[in-house]
Amino acid sequence: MSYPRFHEPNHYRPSGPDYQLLPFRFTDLDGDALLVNEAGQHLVLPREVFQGLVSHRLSPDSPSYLDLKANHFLIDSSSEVPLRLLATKYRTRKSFLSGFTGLHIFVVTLRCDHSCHYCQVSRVSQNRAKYDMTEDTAERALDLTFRSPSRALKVEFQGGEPLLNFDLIKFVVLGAERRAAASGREVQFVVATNLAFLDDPMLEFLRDHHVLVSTSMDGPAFIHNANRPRPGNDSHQMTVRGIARVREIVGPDRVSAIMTTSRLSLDHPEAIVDEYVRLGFDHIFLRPISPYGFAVRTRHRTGYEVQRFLDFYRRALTHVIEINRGGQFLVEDYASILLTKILTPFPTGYVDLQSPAGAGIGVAVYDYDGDVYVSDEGRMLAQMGDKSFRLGNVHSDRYEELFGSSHLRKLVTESVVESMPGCSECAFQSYCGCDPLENHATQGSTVGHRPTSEFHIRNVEIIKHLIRLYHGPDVFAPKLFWSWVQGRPLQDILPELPAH
Amino acid sequence: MYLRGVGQPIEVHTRIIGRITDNPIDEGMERADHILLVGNEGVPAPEQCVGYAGFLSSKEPHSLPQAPAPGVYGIRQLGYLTTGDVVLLLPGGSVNVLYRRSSLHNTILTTERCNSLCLMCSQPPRLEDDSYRVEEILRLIELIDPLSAEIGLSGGEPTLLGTHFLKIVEKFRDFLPCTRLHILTNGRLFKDLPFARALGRIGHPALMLGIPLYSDIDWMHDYVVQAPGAFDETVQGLYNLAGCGVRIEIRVVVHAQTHQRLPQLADYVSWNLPFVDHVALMGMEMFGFVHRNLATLWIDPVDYQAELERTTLTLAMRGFDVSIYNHQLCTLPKSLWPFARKSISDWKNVYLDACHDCGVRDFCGGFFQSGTKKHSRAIRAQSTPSKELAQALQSLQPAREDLEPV
Amino acid sequence: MPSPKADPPTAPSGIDLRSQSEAALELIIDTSLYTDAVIFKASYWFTDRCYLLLERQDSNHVLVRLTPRDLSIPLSAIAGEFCNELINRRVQQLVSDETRMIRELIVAQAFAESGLTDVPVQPDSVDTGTSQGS
Repeated sequence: MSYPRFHEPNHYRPSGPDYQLLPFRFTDLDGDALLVNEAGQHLVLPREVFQGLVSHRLSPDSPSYLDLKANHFLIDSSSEVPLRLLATKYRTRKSFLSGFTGLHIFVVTLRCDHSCHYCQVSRVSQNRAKYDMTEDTAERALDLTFRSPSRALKVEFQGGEPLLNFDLIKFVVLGAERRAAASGREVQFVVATNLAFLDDPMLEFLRDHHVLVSTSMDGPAFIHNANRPRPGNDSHQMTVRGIARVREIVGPDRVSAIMTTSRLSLDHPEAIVDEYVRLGFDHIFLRPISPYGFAVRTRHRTGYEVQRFLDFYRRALTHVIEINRGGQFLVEDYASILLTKILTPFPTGYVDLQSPAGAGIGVAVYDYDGDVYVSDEGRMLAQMGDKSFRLGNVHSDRYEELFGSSHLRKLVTESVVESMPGCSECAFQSYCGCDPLENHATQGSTVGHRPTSEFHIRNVEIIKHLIRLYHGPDVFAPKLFWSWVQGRPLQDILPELPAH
Repeated sequence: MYLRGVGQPIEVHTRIIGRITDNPIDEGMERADHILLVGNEGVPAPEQCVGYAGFLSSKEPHSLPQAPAPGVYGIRQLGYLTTGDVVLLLPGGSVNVLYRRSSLHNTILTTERCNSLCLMCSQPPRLEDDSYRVEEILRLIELIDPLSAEIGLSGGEPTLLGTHFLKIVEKFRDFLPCTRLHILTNGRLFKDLPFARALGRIGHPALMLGIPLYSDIDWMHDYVVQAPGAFDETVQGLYNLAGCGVRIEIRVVVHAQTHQRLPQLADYVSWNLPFVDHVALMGMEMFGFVHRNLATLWIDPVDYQAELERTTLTLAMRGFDVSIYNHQLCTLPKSLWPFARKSISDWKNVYLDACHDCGVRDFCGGFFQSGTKKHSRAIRAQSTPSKELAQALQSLQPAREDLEPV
Repeated sequence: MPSPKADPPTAPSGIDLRSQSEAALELIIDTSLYTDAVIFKASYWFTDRCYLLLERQDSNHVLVRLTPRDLSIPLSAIAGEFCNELINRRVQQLVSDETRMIRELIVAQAFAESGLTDVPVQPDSVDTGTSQGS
């Protein structure tokens, strides 16, 4: 064989210094430029490098050039590969659309024993059986649920207090399982409950049908009970007892908690986080109160400025990180969702941070009386007399009329972040979403006004905060964030050997 | 990659493939598959060999029989052959081992032709048409023990065989359905979607393609493999294969031309190739073109520890299955020991004098034979591990040995 | 492939301060450098803190008057921020213009293979009765 000739690197390099930009948006991050491309990949560049990039003066020998090329911010060849890769990543991000409505919420009763300040349903007392969903309504709602093309469905029971109509929960679970088996699909169940009405037969049913339990835990007793009054003022105690019983009978990993932030909560971030740890949770979801229903009516008691929430969030997150550093695995769910969007091209299934918004197309709510709403917030607005987001009723409207209505289409059109004022050129477009119902409730239109939107202010600040931490001097933070994205403790992902 | 012996051929007019047996087999069809290992005679009597494909002997004959059966005698080293192995007898008297049943590292050479010319190629390509191998490979598949855990296919570039390549995979599916098939390929020809689809359609139950990617920058990869456009073709191929349901492993040989952007390659794989089943980060084997390009390629592994560590941990954190091959434990930071695999195939393992008192030798793959002369300056016996550390190291060894890399 | 060379957007040329009182700030903006769309987008971000008036002066100039909604907001800070916002919006416009076509290609290719555009739910489709799923 003839002696092969090996060529130098220059033989393979692109010919000219010219390059073309690939689509991206940018913003300022503490004096640097933060760029995010169409696939949601981000890069931080010193300002001068950014200026060189956009004026086509960036040298191929510049250290940032290769990173910009590999991360699809610029292209310097006629290769089709970057286009194919970007299209695939973009499709992956939007792949949640193909499942259409995946989360179906059944409001099995309006009856409740609590009087939570932030509650968005009527405070109907325990006695009024006419506020329960009937089997007929449930049957029709199940039919609609299974019209969704999604392979994996989630049925969530809400109320009032759903356990007060447990027979109907059983009816729906069994009906859904039958339909799922017949159509080769998966269905997951969740019940959102205050745990006050658990008995053993209920717990056994939940265990046998793999129902997840989601409960409210607002923090230590003095906060939780203040937020969630009930006769006897013992909500916290009941919840803790309930959690233990669920773990014992349904399973140790079958109960999760969500937290609602009230004015009182804002002063106690560390205590709230500590309470979650004390109760054995490995997830905490730090979400702000939504301004609907009783929240708006009692705003003088529950309203607060978004900056106070951000301070609370940052302090709580810092504390969560420290707890992890000490060896205890604890995930902050909101950060985890955002980090999945920042660090990967994968969708998250979280309907409140997607474009177009999940109202109607990601989630649907079947109220006790058969009314169908685009989301829980839509139902809450109806409670206040605003039925703008009611799609129809299971008894009178077909699937096509409910989910194919021009009403829903208009809502979807107006919640496409890529075309909304203030969002269409936002650097964080790939990570964020919109809440047309929050806009409607607080700003008077579904499109809303971005500069004054609390949703916008909150998310921009939290996203920036997470990106700062990820690239910051604490090397533990990025590793921790990846463990959250993976959903597994660091020790499982990066095995550490004994020292010697 | 295969062992070879030489002896005196008799009546070997064509290439003869057969499965070794050291016990005679009853008369019947099966004898034609077998090559009899005879103990006492140099050349056995013809009636002893009736129906067999041939015989092998280490002995010299007292005399030659009248009409001898085909075979090779006087082979000095025969001790490595056992029942179940498959050999190829050549008219010149060579006995090539194509498959060793007791080995976990059998690799079949499909062709020596290649469409790349990697700077560090350990199997430098040849231009000649060697498609004669195809028939032999198809025959070999029939003789391999169906209980074999894993077989590798390599080259050159196996996909250059085109439809024959597909035929080989099909034959593996049909004759060795319980055997994992690991194919080393540059993946470039899978840019052609019909070809990728055809491979997916075969439906081999345990197929994995090991495809190298040396950089996140197209021209840097092209430079390492010395083929313009290779990066593009490989990435397109990766996408097509993934879309057709074929499982993929990304392989990276770490050397002076690939270590600098290794962490960035991890990010690239993470964003663009999330479907990859496994990433193998490999030490360079001192073989083939490496000697010619040594000045361009050589870097002491301890000098790229930082990049290797960042890359491995990056990939692990993003949920990828990562392995480090061909690195001695003393050249790796402790954080990477959980990822290091004893990858050097069983008959190639050697250790240096410095390794004599090493406390973790049992967990270390040692060196290639070819790697004993030029190696890291950091080779040093490690102290005996504590019981906890030894147990941890033991539990990290995978249930099966991994294939030896090309 | 030749690409448009933009001016490095460092100095805010094309933005002139016409007047500044305690109550309001007036800027004259050269529309050959900052298009209407860019001016509107930048202005939008100040509608929380200010009242804005936009008035065309001549074919190449627009007047922007910013009046803070409340007096605690210092005008000098707003002036600087507004200029920066104009520059950023302009750079983004340049990037978007340059990448518009390939962005459309990316989105089109992303959805072409997804099958998503195949089965919309039509409001006037025939009721398929009891079929489950689709």
